[in-house]
Amino acid sequence: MLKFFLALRYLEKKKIVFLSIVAVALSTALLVTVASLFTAFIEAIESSSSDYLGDIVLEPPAEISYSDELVAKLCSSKEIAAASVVLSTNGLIHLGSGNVKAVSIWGIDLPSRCRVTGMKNSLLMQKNLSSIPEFENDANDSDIIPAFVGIGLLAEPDAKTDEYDLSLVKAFVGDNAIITVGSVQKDSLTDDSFAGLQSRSARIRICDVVFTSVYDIDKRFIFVPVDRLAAVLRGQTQKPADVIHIKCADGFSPQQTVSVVRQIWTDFASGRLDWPNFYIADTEIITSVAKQSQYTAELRKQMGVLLVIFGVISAGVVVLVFCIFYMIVTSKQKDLAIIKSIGGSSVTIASIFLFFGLFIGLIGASVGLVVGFAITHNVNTIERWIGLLFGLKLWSSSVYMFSRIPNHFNWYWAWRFFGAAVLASVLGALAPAITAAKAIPAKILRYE
Amino acid sequence: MYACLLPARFFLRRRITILAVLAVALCVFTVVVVMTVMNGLVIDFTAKNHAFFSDCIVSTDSLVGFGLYEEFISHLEGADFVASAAPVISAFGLVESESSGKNAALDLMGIDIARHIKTTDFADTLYYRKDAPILAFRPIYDTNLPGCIVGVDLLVERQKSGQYRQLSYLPAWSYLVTCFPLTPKGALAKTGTQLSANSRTFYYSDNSNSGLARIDSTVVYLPFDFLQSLCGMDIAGRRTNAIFIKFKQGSDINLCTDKVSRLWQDFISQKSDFALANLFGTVRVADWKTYRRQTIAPMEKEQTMLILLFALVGLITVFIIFVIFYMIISRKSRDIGILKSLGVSKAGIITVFMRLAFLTGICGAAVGIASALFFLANINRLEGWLFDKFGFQMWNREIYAIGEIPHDTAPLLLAAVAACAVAACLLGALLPTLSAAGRKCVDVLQVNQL
Repeated sequence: MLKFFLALRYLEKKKIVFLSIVAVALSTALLVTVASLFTAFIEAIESSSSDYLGDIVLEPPAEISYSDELVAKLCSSKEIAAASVVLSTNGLIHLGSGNVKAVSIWGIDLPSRCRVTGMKNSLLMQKNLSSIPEFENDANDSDIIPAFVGIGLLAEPDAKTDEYDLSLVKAFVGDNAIITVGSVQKDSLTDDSFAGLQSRSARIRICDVVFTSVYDIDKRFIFVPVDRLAAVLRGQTQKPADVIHIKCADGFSPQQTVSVVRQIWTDFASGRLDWPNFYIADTEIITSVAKQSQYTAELRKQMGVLLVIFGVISAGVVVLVFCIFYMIVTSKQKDLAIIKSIGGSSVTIASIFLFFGLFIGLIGASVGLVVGFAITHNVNTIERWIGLLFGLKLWSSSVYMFSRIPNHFNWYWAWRFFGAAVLASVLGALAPAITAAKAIPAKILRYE
Repeated sequence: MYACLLPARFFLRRRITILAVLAVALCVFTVVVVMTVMNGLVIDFTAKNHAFFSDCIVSTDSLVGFGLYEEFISHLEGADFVASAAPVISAFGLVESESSGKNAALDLMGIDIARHIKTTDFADTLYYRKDAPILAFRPIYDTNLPGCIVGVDLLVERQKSGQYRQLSYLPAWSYLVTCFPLTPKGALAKTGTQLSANSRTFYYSDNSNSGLARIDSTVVYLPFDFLQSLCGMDIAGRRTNAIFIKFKQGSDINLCTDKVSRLWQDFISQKSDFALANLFGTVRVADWKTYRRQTIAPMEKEQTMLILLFALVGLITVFIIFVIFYMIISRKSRDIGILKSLGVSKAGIITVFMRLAFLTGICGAAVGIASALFFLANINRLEGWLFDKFGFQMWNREIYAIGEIPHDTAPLLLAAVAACAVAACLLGALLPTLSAAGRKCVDVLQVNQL
């Protein structure tokens, strides 16, 4: 009881102790914020990847014919909730007077894509509809291909606010544009007749705008019905595909499902497509999260390096607590001698200072945690205020991919740093506590 | 005399000052290492931008471009501050490999190689034609074919060490380049009622490694005249998107950019009756740094943020110094009392402890800087060793366009960090020193206080 009482009393009476609390809080807040912002950014990349590509991506080395059959086979498996085909190509878009841009064009099957990915939520005009979104054909000219166009192709985000003028963007809906794509005259692995390359142009009608909040996607992508794109590229209306995106059923992890997908793919490619084994083996079947792993691994490494740098400097907290405690021990020699003289053991004396250190660690780390949480949670507001006050735009989607700073607070790292801060405080108090425990009352309490 | 001897004595005798010196040294070491690397990356990036874009750029964002550029270049070449100028076309095109059938929508850059290599450091970025850059668009295997220079990251694999796996021979690859030809009004040029896209085959003649990742992974360079024709920029008068300008050595870039701006304004006012004069409206004149602001600014902002974070961390050093001085002064209260009783003034006491703080700061900074310099001198060797033994790289060179880790320290940075370290020590020691100076010898030297 005496230990707690004295530790609390020192905490209350010694103003200098607040300095160590501030230092502990500052270090904890800094480390927690850095770790949270980094991990939130990494998680945002992984989650946007799943939102955009589904859980698993099947990417063969050549175009797949009879892709409908493959999708049906995949969907018949209990591990797979949905699968969707993609036919991709690159091209140019002419949006108006002098406005030409390089684009990636994806031919998609919209109903299945909405089941596999969060596509519906990114459609500006149709996201609030209760029905499945659709490519609306032009009533007057059926040759015009309906298309969803990335918001970044139609407008640039405001330089100060980094936000799009949605009314300006929505005004594009219903407008026509022209795309040019490269058409390769060799449409499958088994077709040996290579007739060369040809560029083909087609008219499109913007029937919705895609706003995923991922700048690189919004800036570069156009989506059209897969059969219409196949018709432009190959002159056929089947659904060939060069990528299949797959969503796992509830309760099945993408990592587990990869092997199931590979088995179905192997059976299909060898049986229906008659592909040779090395082509089948060359097919990439990978989770969408793993597809980003090289980049996210680099980010994790950078986070680690930054945390080590700040961690080393924050180790100064141990020195600070040590100095403060040493000072208190020195100034409280007489109190300690009195406690010893009325029967307090060396362990009791040491415990007073260790508890004291523990209190400081707990309070400082708690404050740091709260501050770190507040900063992380409100980082977008803080960034906006900095922009307003100093005219400095710190976050821009064109540089950092996302239109908002990912601000998910990471409790895993938070508790780790909380523990480390408490431990550092106790460690800093250790040497002074031992010094205090060694105090000899007879020497200290002598009048002279 | 005491004001010199006592600080030195306190510094040498009190073991706790070693702690203060180490705390300062640690902070200085970290700041010098991190800022040197960060500064090096920023300087390297800006230098590469400067080398690629020359000193000043007269340009328009519109793909339609502007006319009368040759006439304006003649004006520029007549100016005493201009060393050379070159027209550049920027466009988008669909590039299809005729050997693999793969295609990609890429940025196209039309350059007049003879003038471009005089105006920029483009020649240094070439691989096969480094010694004869003027022939860069002539493939070695057949110099009569129209060549194209491809951004290095589009074709050549980068190894983990950061080196490109260049082929010893120039492969005879061909590419079909397709562009939308635009009329001066920005409309798509049509052939009869058909939509028109111009295509032409080019042959791989070299690759360019500018060190700018976004450029090296998206740009294909074509001869100026060919791209001009593909983009329809030769319809109703020749047009370009930009003019790169190099100033004479030693010229003040900002001053010369202003001069170019005035020349341009004079030029367009003289040409107000030109048929395509409306296209001059979107043209702007900027120095290279302003032109590349969007790319350079984020790096500079990150650097500023890092400095702010270190300032926050430096605050902890101030706290440590404060506490250590508080300790020293509490332990030296008798000495202070004696000094005061001998007639030393408040200012004298302040001088003693501030000199001690100065000494702590200087020594901490010296130790920190010395160890940082040693570490930086060996940083690449250390990274190489870590890579060989554990496969660890600070930056994966397959992803980042970084060569060596920058390790050249700027003397100004060292001086600034040392000054900040000393200032932090003086700041940290200020309150305890003032409290020491305010003590009265009669209070301190009372027998019950001893």
